[in-house]
Amino acid sequence: MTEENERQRILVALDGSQESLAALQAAVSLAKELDADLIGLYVEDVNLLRLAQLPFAREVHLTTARFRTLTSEVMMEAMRLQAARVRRALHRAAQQAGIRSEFRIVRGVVPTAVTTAAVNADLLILGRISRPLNRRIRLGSTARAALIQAQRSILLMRQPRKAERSVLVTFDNSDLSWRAVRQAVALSAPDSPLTLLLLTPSAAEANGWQAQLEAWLQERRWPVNFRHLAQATMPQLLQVVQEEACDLLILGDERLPVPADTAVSFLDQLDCSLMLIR
Amino acid sequence: MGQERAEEAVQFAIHVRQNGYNLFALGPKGSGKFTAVHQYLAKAAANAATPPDWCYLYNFDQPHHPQALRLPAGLGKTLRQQMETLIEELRAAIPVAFESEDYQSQRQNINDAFQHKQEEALEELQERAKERGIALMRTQNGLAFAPMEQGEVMPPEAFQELPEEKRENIEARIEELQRDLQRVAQQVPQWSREGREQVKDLNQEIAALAIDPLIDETKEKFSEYPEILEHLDAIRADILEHLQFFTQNDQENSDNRLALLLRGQQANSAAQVEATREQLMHRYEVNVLVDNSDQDGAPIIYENHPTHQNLIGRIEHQARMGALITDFGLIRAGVLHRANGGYLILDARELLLQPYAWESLKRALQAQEVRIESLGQNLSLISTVSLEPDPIPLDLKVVLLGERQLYYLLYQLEPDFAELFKVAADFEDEMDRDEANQTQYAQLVANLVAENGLRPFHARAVARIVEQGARFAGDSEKLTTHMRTITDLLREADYWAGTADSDVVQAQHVQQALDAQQYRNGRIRDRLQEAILRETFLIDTTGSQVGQINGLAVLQTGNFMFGRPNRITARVRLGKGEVVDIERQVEMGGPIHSKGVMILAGFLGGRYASRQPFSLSASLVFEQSYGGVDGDSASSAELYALLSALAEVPLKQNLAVTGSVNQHGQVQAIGGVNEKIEGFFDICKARGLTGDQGVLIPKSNVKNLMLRQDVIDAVADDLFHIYPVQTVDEGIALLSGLPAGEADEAGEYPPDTVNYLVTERLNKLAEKQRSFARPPVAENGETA
Repeated sequence: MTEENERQRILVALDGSQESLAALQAAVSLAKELDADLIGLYVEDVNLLRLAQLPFAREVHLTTARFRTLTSEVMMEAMRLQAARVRRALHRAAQQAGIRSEFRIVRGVVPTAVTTAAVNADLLILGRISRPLNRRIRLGSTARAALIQAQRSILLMRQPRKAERSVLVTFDNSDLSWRAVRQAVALSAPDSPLTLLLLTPSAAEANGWQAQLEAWLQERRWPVNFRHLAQATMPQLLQVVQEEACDLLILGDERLPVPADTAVSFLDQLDCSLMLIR
Repeated sequence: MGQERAEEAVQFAIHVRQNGYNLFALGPKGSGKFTAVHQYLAKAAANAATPPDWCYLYNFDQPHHPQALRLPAGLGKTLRQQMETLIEELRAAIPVAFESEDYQSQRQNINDAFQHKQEEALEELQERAKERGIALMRTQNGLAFAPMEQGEVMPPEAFQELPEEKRENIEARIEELQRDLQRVAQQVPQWSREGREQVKDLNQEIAALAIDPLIDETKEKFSEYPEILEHLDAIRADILEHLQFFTQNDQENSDNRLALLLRGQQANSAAQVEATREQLMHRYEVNVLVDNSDQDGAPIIYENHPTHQNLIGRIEHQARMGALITDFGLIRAGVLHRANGGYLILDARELLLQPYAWESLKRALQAQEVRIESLGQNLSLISTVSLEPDPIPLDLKVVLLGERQLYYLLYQLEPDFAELFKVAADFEDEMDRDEANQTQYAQLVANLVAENGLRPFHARAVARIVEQGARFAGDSEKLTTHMRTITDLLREADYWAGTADSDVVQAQHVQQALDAQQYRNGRIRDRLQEAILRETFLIDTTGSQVGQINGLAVLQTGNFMFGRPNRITARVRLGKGEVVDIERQVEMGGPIHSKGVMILAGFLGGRYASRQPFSLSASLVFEQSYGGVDGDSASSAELYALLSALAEVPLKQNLAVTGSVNQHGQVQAIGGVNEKIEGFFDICKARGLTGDQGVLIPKSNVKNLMLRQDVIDAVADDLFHIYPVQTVDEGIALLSGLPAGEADEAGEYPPDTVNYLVTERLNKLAEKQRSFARPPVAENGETA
């Protein structure tokens, strides 16, 4: 973990999809709030490059139902243009927010390339899924791999449904929880609802936490709701998320068992952005 | 009052309902035609039915032909209000219906079904490919298939190393999958269309649920009017056709955009949608062209500016984004619309002065409908798309007010005039001055005083007004009906009463008003009188002169008439029997004056030259006349001057003469007798009345005498005289102091009579003529 006095680094994976642009927006907000450096990553997908080298490679346009023959040159040009677009988006957003940014292009298999690049970052941000063929799939292969392999905090963004983003944070009074609250404040728009879900069997303890949190948030004049969950299981958590209709769930609970496969299963059912604090 | 003939004509025009029985009220300006006609019409209008309202509605089938709607009086306004309410309710109800959870859920289901079809087809393809070791991949612009090896796309080198058969097999499979993918892609527009149709049906269903109760409620209120019911149905259909503009709001989210895309429409900006919605809503409004809600009985409209547009209405335009646009709501009524079912009063001269106004009125009356067309359209000057509103049936009486000459000219020169204005109401200029009419005249004065808010008039002041009414008529037995003149006099008398701090207008205030009028207008008269008194213009008022007489002329400056004496002289000499009118010779005499001179020559010839040739040449002239002379009122004076010159008998210069003469020597009536007498009187008075001064007037003019009070007083005091004469003989006797003399059976006149002296002179002249005609006598006594 990075020392407090060191500048944090946030890595955001960009591929030009709506979800990746939502990820960029969140990354910029967090980088500004946490005074972190922002690194944009674009991966040249080797699978697509291989495809373009195959003699029969053709793509079908869904809007026109026409074929286009793919070649390495065509594919490289498309990737170059896409990279240039996301680079512009990154720099523009960073400039507007007044933060430092860096743009990197790597080549590889996308999930591996992203997780590899994220090793040195404090936070990895990426879209939950990019241009899915089926809307029922809520988690893309890259997000899935990142969730399993990344050792640090990770934020999986989906395209927001409305301008006002409601945030739900699980809280167990651990250091991670307090970090989660800070991140939540960074990711919330002013006056947008922030809900803290206190995970403890003890009502008295929950009250104590609430008092501490209220005191901390009051200094910042931040509106906040509190909910108490005695049994912190995944189904109960899902129920709360649905009840609160939240757009972003931040899990900041050390005691909450979030092994990778469980998290993946959980995310498949979760229809909002998710942040895991590690 | 005193206009029975005109009133009967107006009543006739009012009650004959056939086309063309419009009215032309003819008479001088200011004669009270408008007031009288308005009063007659008002009586008829009060008992007539209130005409209907007329509205224009948007025509959904043919937008450039706004639809005319006839409704009972007052209902147009109600309909407009109801439609405004309906529009407000629709504006609120439709978005609410589309915000309901039920609707959102149903529409989401349709969208999901469309997505599901696409996804299912791709998923099935993906599964099939996977079974064959092939992956369906998303590229930057579409989808592609690639053979897989250990979870990744097979490297090209590895593919090349495969046996040819296997390579071909993979290629064939991929090609098949590509074709299947293409088929799926080809089906997407069809599914999209189906989705659009379903969303459209759903939208219509939801919208119908929202709007039908509102429209039905409005329909119930107007259930007796099929046109309104049809229009409401058309509005309903129009809303359902343009639902996208009623449902889209400012916070259009991505789902709505998707829905719009499903419907094949572009997601417009909120402002554009708002503007379009307002334009659509505007079409449901009602343009009440003629609102008779406050009208009781038939309308009577007077238009003092009868232009083409003011008559038949106009279509206004609004500048929007640099273009001039119009719609049914900008149609404005003309007076023909507003007076429809009643009466329209127009000033004929004003109407004829306005370009194309007469033509437009004529066309409307002939067709019995008002068709709103701009002059540009009418003259084919512009060909841009404009509106052609339904014509509105016309049922009204038009009353034109104008002077007689205009009526006769129109009748003669405009072939359609007689067809359209069959009734003429000829207003009298004067009325009989009998007891009953004088009483009515006094009542009229009272009415005018009340109407104009003047001080009350004393009975003597009213009597003075009545007397002046006779003076204005120029006839002691008549009263003028020229209302403007009387009203002006009343107002001015009131003013003078005011300056004298009197609460009641007295007779002296009326006189003061008359004197002030004369003074204000009398500059030229005064200058002429001054010129006479200073003997710049030579007029004798004492003594006697041969061949010289004071004639009397009337001059008019504006509306002011005055008389002045004019010296007429005659000279005779040997000649061929001709009377030379010098005025005519120098083209300063008018034809009537010349006629008078010829008549007097005829009298002379008839009386004195029946037995011998008329061997004289006489010349007649108006001395110091530089402005031309017309009229025959001086012909008796000219005859007297000629007789004086012939008889060499002096005429009295203390007398002045007016009157025309015929070939038998009878003196005939003339105009302006009062002004003429007063003109000579003023000169005599200024020089000092001698008691023997006076004026000879035709006897037939006695009834016209309405003289100024100072003249009347002078006559009463025997200081001034008025001599009515019937014949030239009476006149010459008065003027010469000699009897005229009557011829005996032999045709001879007694000595010492004017006629005798004339005959003698003529005989001498004839003798001299004969002597000149005889050949000269030779010394031997033979003629040459």
